[in-house]
Amino acid sequence: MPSKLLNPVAVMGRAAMDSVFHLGRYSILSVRALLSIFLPPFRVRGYLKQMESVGVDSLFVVILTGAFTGGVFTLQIIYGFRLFSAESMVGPTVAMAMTRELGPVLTALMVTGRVGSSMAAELSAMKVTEQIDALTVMAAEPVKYLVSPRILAGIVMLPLLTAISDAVGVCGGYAVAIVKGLDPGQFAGRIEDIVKLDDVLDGLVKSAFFGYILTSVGCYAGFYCRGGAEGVGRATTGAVVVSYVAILVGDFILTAIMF
Amino acid sequence: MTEAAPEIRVKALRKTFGEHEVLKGVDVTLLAGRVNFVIGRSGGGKSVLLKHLTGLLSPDSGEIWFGDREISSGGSRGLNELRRKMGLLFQEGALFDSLSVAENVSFPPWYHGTMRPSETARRVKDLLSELGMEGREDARVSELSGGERKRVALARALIMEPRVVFFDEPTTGLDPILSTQVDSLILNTRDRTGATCVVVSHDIAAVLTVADQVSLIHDGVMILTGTPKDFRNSAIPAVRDFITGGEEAAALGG
Ligand SMILES: Nc1ncnc2c1ncn2[C@@H]1O[C@H](COP(=O)(O)OP(=O)(O)O)[C@@H](O)[C@H]1O
Ligand SMILES: [Mg+2]
Repeated sequence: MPSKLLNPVAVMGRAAMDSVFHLGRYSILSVRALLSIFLPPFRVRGYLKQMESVGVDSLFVVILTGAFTGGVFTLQIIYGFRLFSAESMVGPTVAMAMTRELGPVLTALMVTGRVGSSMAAELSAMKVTEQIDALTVMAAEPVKYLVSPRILAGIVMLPLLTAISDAVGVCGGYAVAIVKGLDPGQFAGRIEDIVKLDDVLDGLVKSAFFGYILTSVGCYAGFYCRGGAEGVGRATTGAVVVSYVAILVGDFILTAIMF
Repeated sequence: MTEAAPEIRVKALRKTFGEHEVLKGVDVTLLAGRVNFVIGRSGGGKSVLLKHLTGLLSPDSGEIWFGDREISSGGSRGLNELRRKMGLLFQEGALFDSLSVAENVSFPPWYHGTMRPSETARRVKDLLSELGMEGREDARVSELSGGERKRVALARALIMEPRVVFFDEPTTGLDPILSTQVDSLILNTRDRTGATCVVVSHDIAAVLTVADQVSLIHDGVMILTGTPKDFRNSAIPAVRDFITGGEEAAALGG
């Protein structure tokens, strides 16, 4: 369109204003949802149901990802470490990488694909069929009823999933190391000396933050969806892309602050 | 019937979506404890008007008074207080498709925890059988036909025995027998609980038999508010078109 070419300033201004608008509305929604967790009425079953769908239902994919990530990471570094006769450092390096970085980030990305997208799809379908309006008219706070349980489930379950992913990843690395001819003691011996509890905990704190991002972005995309079935599709893809970017950027910032 | 008090007063309500001015200064008074029909062409802004009355949309200008209370005056808390006394049947039902029929109908009392479970169960059963939906309590919403959804949604709107019930096209998509049942359910609601009923409809026959008051929205304004008799005898061309259009459709078997 010529008008866009002619007026890049207007286009950029528009985009900047849109981002500010979305960021503001997103912040209001997610903060309200967080505060609503502590307000009555307390409907525990809704929370448990979301925890099941975020946590239990993601177990398989998280275990699979963790095992292969630990395995392939070991495969990659074992060759280089051998050159320096640093075989005893393979185990600690895998454990460090899994707990600090790969476990939290890959778990969050997998759960975004599985859960964040389905939250966006479910809420936007509810939006376009006026189910959210129906809640509002019944004086049943839709933010509290729909968004709060999802965000809390993300914050609580992501660290648990990440802990599992960390453990499975190290086991995957161990299996590959054995196949590649390392002694069991060589792999595991120095992990305890080098990987500190703080490394694990910092990784889990990051994952709680990712859990907040992927659920709140998914809910936001659904909650403010417009335009019928097409809008549902747009909300879903949008939620995944925005969550991915926010998780990766957030990871960088948190890592820079923590370590 | 004695002279009815006003329940809802709408003053100079305006709403524009983008370039499209839907409500251009609607003035109407809806009577307490009566069946108030709002009729008008498809796309004429009837659903938009109901969404303003329930606070789902906020007007560009104008006022909506419930008794001595302006709808936007108490903030969201005040609005929710008003909503606890309202029921709304959405045009498309807006049922929760993750819940069963019975869970949908019992949702409002369940959420607010204001009714004993045994009482809720009894009302769910009564309402569903009154609407010819007995035995379908455990059906999923996705298994229901359009007419069945509408009836379940109607039961959900009525379960709290609200003081004001808004019906958005309650009989559209129902067969004539069911339509008659729904019409008598509306009358029952008025007579049993003294509720104010606001019915958006195209059904000229129902207007003349069920309504206590009729308002016709045309081109964004209320061009007539009166009794069914006033409506039938009106000389306003838009009103006459509406009546004869309806009669022609009835003659054609529509
Ligand atoms: N949220 C909305 N955004 C934009 N336009 C809307 C919205 N809601 C309704 N409209 C428009 O307002 C007009 C009146 O709609 P509606 O009140 O649903 O008509 P009806 O009288 O058939 O119920 C329609 O042209 C519709 O496209
Ligand atoms: Mg309508």
